[in-house]
Amino acid sequence: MNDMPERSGEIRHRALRLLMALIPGLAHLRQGHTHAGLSLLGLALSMITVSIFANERIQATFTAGRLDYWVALLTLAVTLGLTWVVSGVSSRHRLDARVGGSQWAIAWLGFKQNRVAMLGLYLMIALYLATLLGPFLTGYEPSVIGDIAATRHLPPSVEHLMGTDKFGRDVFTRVLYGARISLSIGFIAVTISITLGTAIGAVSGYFGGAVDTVLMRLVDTLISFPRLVLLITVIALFEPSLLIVIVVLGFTLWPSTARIVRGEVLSLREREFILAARALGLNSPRIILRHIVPNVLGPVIVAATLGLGNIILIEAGLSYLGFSVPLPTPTWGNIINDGREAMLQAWWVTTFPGLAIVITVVAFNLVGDGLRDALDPRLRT
Amino acid sequence: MSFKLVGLSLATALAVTSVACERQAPARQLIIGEPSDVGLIFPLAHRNYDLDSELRRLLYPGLNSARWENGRVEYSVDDMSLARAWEFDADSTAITYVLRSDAVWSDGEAIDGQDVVFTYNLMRRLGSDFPYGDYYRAIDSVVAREPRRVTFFFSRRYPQMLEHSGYSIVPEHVYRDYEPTIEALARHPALREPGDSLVVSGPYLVTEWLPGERLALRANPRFAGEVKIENVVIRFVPEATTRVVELENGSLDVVNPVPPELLPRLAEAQRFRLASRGARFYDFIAWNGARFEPFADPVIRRALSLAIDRQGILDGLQVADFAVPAAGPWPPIFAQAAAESLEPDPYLPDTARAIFASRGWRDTDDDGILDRNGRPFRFTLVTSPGSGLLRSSAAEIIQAHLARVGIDVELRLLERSALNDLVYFDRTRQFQAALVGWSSSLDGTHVRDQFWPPDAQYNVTGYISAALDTLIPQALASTTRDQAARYWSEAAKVIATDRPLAFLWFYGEAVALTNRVRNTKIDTYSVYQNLHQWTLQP
Amino acid sequence: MTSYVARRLLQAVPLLFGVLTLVFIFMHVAPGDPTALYMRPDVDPAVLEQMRRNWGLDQPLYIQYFRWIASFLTGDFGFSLTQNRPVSDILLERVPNTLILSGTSLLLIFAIGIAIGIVQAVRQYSTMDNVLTVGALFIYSMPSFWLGLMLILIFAYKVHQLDWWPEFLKFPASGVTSTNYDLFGAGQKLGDRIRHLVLPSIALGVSSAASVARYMRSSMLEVIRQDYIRTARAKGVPERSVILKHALKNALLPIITLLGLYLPFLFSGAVLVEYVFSWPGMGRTIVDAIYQRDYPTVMATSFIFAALVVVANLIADILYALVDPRIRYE
Repeated sequence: MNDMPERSGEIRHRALRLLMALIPGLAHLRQGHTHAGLSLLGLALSMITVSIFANERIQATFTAGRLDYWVALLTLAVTLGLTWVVSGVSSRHRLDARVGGSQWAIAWLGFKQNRVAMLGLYLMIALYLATLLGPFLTGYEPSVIGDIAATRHLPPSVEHLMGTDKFGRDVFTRVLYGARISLSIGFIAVTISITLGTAIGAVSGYFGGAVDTVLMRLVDTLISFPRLVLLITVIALFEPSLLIVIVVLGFTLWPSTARIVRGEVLSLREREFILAARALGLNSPRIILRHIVPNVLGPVIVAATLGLGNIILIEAGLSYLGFSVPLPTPTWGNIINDGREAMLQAWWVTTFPGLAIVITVVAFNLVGDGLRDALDPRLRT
Repeated sequence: MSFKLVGLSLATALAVTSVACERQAPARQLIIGEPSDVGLIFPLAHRNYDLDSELRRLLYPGLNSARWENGRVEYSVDDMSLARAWEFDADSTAITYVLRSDAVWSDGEAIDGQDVVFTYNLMRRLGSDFPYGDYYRAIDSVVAREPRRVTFFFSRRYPQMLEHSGYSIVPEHVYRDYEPTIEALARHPALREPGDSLVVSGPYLVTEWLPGERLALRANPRFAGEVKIENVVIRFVPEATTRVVELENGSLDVVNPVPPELLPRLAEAQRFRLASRGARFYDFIAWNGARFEPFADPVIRRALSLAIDRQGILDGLQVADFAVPAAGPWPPIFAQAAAESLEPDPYLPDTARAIFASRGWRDTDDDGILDRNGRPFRFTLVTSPGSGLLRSSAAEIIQAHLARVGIDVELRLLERSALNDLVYFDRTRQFQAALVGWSSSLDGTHVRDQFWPPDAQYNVTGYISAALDTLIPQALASTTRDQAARYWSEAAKVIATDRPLAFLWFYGEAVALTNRVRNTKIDTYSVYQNLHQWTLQP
Repeated sequence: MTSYVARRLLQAVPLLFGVLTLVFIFMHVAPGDPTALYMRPDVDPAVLEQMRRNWGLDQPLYIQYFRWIASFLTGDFGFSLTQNRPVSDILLERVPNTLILSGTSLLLIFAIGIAIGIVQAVRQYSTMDNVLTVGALFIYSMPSFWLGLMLILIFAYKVHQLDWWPEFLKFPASGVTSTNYDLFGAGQKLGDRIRHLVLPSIALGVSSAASVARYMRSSMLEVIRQDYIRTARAKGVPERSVILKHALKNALLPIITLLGLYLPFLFSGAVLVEYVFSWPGMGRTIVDAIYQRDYPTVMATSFIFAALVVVANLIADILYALVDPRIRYE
């Protein structure tokens, strides 16, 4: 009888914990970090809104290539998932930071103090929001062709912020929708290459010997050959499509990550805790997964962020040569390429998507640099 | 301090470059911008590239001189022909050419009958290294009984005898000792590094060839006729925009070709003029009934054709001055075309919709796409991207037009090589619809090449027609050009009615010239045919 | 030293063969073939078939591969299927052009990058430092071909229509030399070449210059904080010579390793920039050859690309060892 209030208290407490775990930002709000909490909550809510209400609209605009739609949807889901993870991790580590402070909490504090890096982060979030909210930001459709003669090559104006292209389509709209494809390509390709690179680098560094030699020779081979030429030969083998471009980019850009990870692992290998783990008789996969990989995550995240910018640049280059996602799909590279021939009378078609690339890559580089500074105390200046 | 260093070096660099700016008054030269490089400058090695053929005819004239006049090729003798006269024998199966006495190679050797015999023998001996077998297949022998008299003996009388005996002639004394393969001939020092040592017979000599960059030509002092512009430079500028930039900057005088995208801009400019090559290239969509069953029905094919607004596309892309909607494979530039012209399909989307409905295609599930028995009207259209092509711009618009009548077209863009493989080389024809283009022949023979017989490589839809089975053999058996042309145009009419393909338009590439360049003759046959007569106003 | 170089070169052999084998397989398995260039309605398909046989394209892949290796080992690069010329002739014309372009870019990258890096390090956290950092970042984030297009649009087109714009800052949009190059004197020839090099080398090099500046900045900062620099300052050595004499040499060490790293990157960029500026180099050659499935040209150009990178890496290592006495050849 007297344990009832305790029970209900526990239930309430548990329910609250569950809610905080489920809804991003709630934990922050409860801890009094209104700013962070509200922005996380807002981000998550807007994304859920978009995925529910704008779904039909997104789908309708992507009849040209159904795959694009799924990629966009996937990115949406992943971003939502990330918000959730970030929220969970940061709220927990915030608690820790007050007591002793974990590596991540310290890094986050360091990152937050870096104003330029924060600017990059805000830019990045703004970009993702813009791509997700695309259908609401513009009244035009990216691929619908109307009366060409009347709408062709209109200069930038209030109606068409970035002018129109040769088919009279709104360039701003195409850049917005192109962002979705370009960012998705970058995102997925980086995930592939980072996973592959980390795995190969960790294995190579941990085992050493012949395995290391063979794998590192492979890495040297791939690094020493001009990347674009390699990409073109591989893509010539297949028919350029969104999927192929993503896979090929993902599978050709892992060597630099592998190299970085290997270097880190080589130094980790001789550290006490790894030696201890070995002495305990833990098997190699377990040691690699549980003890090595978490400790190289810092440089890997940095490489991923910087790599994302890089991949967007490479994809644009491939588009320029006609080896990337085929045309009706707007990617930034495609839009530039499309406007190239009309550059003299319609400079806006090539200029604006190029600027979009620059701003995006700048944002990713700022965040990457900030992360590097935050995660690696040696570099802190 | 390091800023000073950078500043200093920049200043030096600028000083050096500004020296270069005090240009000497350039010699009287004409600068032409072309998209791609020439290949080996040897007439029998030429590829299917415009510039290769142009250069071949310019540097190595043949026995007769061909001109495009009144809608057909006319053959004559003038300063661009090696012969001064020809005559047919009594039964018209042999032609005897009389060579001009003043025709000499650029190294001073006289051009004689042996050179002609050597050239035609070499063609034959080159085998597949000279892929244009039509030029010698019907020639039994070439005989030079006297140094200046050459006789071609043909296996029968046929329309292209003058064309086939008029191919570029190469100097025997230069290439005699080389093995008859292109690979061996290419190792000739004059071909490896063409310069004054390259023996030619036309109005221009090669002075310098920087592959990928430019080809410099100089008037040939031994050429019998007059050459007006002493120096001509052909620069290879692959990027179309850059070519036009250079034209507007004054560093190019001629740009060939101008991509459709840039035509409206140049048409407005006062300093330039545009010369059309004549509407000879045609774009079409091949409907492959074997891979998408509705295409097998001619009524459906007609409805599809009615749903495409040809004139609208040409107007929208602002190329209406350079292209005309097509009704069939017979180009409007041909002499017979005017009399026997066919009307291109008009844009009647409502009629198209009604026809689809009459064949059972209705949008029953309200998704905007027609369907029948639960299957949507959805197919993949393959084409190749490419700058300077009307059709690559058009693909997206056609997709939009067909969407208006409820047809869902998925575009698939393939690189040219892969597209050729898919559409032409792979006989299993794994495509549903293909948007591709051809250039029509100058005499109508493309009607055979592309539509007959049903299993021909280039007859990509496997088109069968009983009418063609009689008309085409008759055309092939014709002895004169007029007779053949009647059968060809008759066959073209049959094809136009059957619509195995959706013929879209005929277009001619355009050449842009500054107004300083005068006296040009640019037509469907050639751009530089009378380059030596061009003049350059100061 | 010699044995070190020899060993490094020997180690590179399997690497080169690895690259080439990959390219060989990818190219030959890809759809399309070189006869497309000769395809015309009046060409008998049987003739194209015969062409393919002549080129050995009807053979099984492994036979083609071993044949190619055999001729390659004898130094025969083969005969271009689409240009009708020996591949070695083509390469002899194209390789120097690419080397000139990437060499100039490399010079530009290091000269500008190092200078900016030093300025930033010396004035750390100043407004100039921040402006340069952000500026460099923007430049670093530009696609080279887009930058090239923009440079053409502005400096080779728009400014040509301005009367007041100085003549020597109006640049040509394409090509390596002017058409009347042969009429120039020696000084003018050099000037003409430089004028043609300015825009493409900027488009190609400027982004790497920004990253060199970043490395230089941090490397310089690290050096400046060392004890011996403090000692030098304490002894009253003028700041100028502290930076340029004592610090610069050590700060340059890590920068030299970048040399080997940037070359493949430059070659990649050259593929695009050569296209934009109609520069007749290897990048354009290989892309055209891939488009046309000109197998011998693709293989030979790939080989040269990879070999150049190997050599450049070697040179970077040797340079590194020369300036850093702590490194020994083993």
